[in-house]
Amino acid sequence: MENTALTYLCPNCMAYLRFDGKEGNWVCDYCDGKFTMEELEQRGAKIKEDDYQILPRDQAEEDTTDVSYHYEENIPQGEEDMSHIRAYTCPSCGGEILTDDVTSATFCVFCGNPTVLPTQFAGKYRPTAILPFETDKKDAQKAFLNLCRGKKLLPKGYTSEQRLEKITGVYVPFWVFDCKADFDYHATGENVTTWSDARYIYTKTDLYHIHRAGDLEFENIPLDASEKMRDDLMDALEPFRLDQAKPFDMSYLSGFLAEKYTYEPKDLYDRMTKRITPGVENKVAEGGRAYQRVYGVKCHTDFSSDRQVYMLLPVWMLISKYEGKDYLFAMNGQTGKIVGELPVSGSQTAKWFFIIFLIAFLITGIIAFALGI
Amino acid sequence: MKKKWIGIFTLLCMLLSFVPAFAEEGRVFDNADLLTAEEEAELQVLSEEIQQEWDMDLAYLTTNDTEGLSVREYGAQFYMEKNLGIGEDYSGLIFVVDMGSREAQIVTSGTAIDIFTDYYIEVIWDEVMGYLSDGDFYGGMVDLADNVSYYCGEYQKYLEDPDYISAYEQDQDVNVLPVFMGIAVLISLAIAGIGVTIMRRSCDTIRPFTDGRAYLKGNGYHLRVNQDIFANTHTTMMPIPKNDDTNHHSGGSWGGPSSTFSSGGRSFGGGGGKF
Repeated sequence: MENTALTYLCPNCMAYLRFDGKEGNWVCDYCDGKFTMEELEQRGAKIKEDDYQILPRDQAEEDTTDVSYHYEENIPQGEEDMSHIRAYTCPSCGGEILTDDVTSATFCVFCGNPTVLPTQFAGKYRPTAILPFETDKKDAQKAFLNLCRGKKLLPKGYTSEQRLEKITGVYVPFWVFDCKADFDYHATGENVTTWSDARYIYTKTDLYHIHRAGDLEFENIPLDASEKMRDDLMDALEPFRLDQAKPFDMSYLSGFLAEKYTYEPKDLYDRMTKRITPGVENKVAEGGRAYQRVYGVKCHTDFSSDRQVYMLLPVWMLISKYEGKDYLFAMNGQTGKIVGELPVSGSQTAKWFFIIFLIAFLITGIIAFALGI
Repeated sequence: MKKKWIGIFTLLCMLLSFVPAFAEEGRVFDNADLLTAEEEAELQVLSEEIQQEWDMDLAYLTTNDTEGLSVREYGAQFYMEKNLGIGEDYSGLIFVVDMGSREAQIVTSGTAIDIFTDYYIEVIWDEVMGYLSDGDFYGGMVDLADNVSYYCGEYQKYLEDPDYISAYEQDQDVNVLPVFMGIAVLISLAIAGIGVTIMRRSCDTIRPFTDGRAYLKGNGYHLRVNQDIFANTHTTMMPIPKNDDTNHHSGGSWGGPSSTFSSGGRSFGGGGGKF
């Protein structure tokens, strides 16, 4: 079937019309309607406007997602006096730590370096809001032990007292974005029915052009503004209940450390777009008619953001070094959600591989014996 | 000695096609003179017994030269020229020993091709080769006759009894063990690999929380265009493969495949090797 000949939509059922060269008519394969050119014009048949091509699965083009964005910087400024802030930098990793003038930082939370140097606080933006800690250090230590429990591949002695002491509460800088996504989504939906008689198996493939366009409004998308923090780790710590955020006040910093932002909103537009693009496509694909397969997705999305808020969010964190690699454990200071990467010992892995292998071999042997092989 | 000269003369005549097969009754053609007269007589008796009991011809041919043909080809030609074989499909075997190349071949024809599959030929040849290597040609030939008789009998049982388990099948069963061990090791390795991978993965709990949909506003989804337009349809027909099960024997298989070759427009099977 020549797809490029499909130019009109059926006035009866809106399906694509096919031009039948023999009869000189436009034919609807769906409702069996036949139309001459004049009839179509009289009935005001719609002409297919977009250049999306419906093709069978094996000829379909690859999914494409293209994205454009424009942002308008709109950052509400905090009014807090920052004179009581104390700043440190780590000579090893360059991390910048902030705290109030009664708390002092004794080691770098980002790399574990035991010396940090006091510096002058400087920065263009003041935080507007802060989400206070709702969990304490004991909770974090307990959570860390829970995470480690039952992990057979952990190196021995990983959960030592000493390590537990290093768990630190840090206010991590975030830019919280509001954003609108204007999308135009085309895809081919395929439904296959199969039946058979005595001699043949019949396979009927119906193809549909799925077209959705509209916009999606997102709010409070948190993106960490710290270069030191692993993005995937911070994304995994979500959700934060941002409705409980308070206007920023120095007093919240007491007993905790804070990090200064390293990224400004303009550095994060791209990352934000990447983060929610799959969500846009998935949301669009959610509704509407059900298909067995959807392919040939072409989605263009135009993102715009008109509000970005500088916020400090609470995270308990612990960085451990094992065989030259940093392992990060983190707990959402508000909800207690834990994420982290624990080191894996090679010798433990080998041991457990062998044990599981033996057990599996024994079981297969018993099964085989029972089956009389 | 007299016999030897007659044998050579016979062969010469046959090859030159002067006289077409005059020793029709004899089944021992000892042209290389490897057998004594008594041995020949014994083999002749064995051959006649098999003929009578199983409708299966069994001939012996020894030679020093195969006239440039391969041993089995030579045997097949001889078989046809002597008009050997029983029934319409010329069922029978000819055992060819070529002293020139120290190679022997069992050549099968007709029903013998079905009975003496590659598997059984190999079993028999392994036995017979031992005799030939020791220079005991008579012993090898008697052994062959015993085997022919035995397998003809077994084949008869196989045809009559649907539950018959052939030696081939038993052998296949035995072979299942190492195969099974191999599979068990592979399965266990896979399970161990998956297990350890899961354990390692459990040490990394970093998974993205959302693809973005979690931050969608309550009523933040607005559609301007929402169309599902039928584009086209096509139906394919595929014939249902016919299930013609020609294997009438439910109990199992007799002995695996037989490889064949053709000579003079006829089909032969068998096998053998150097000794």
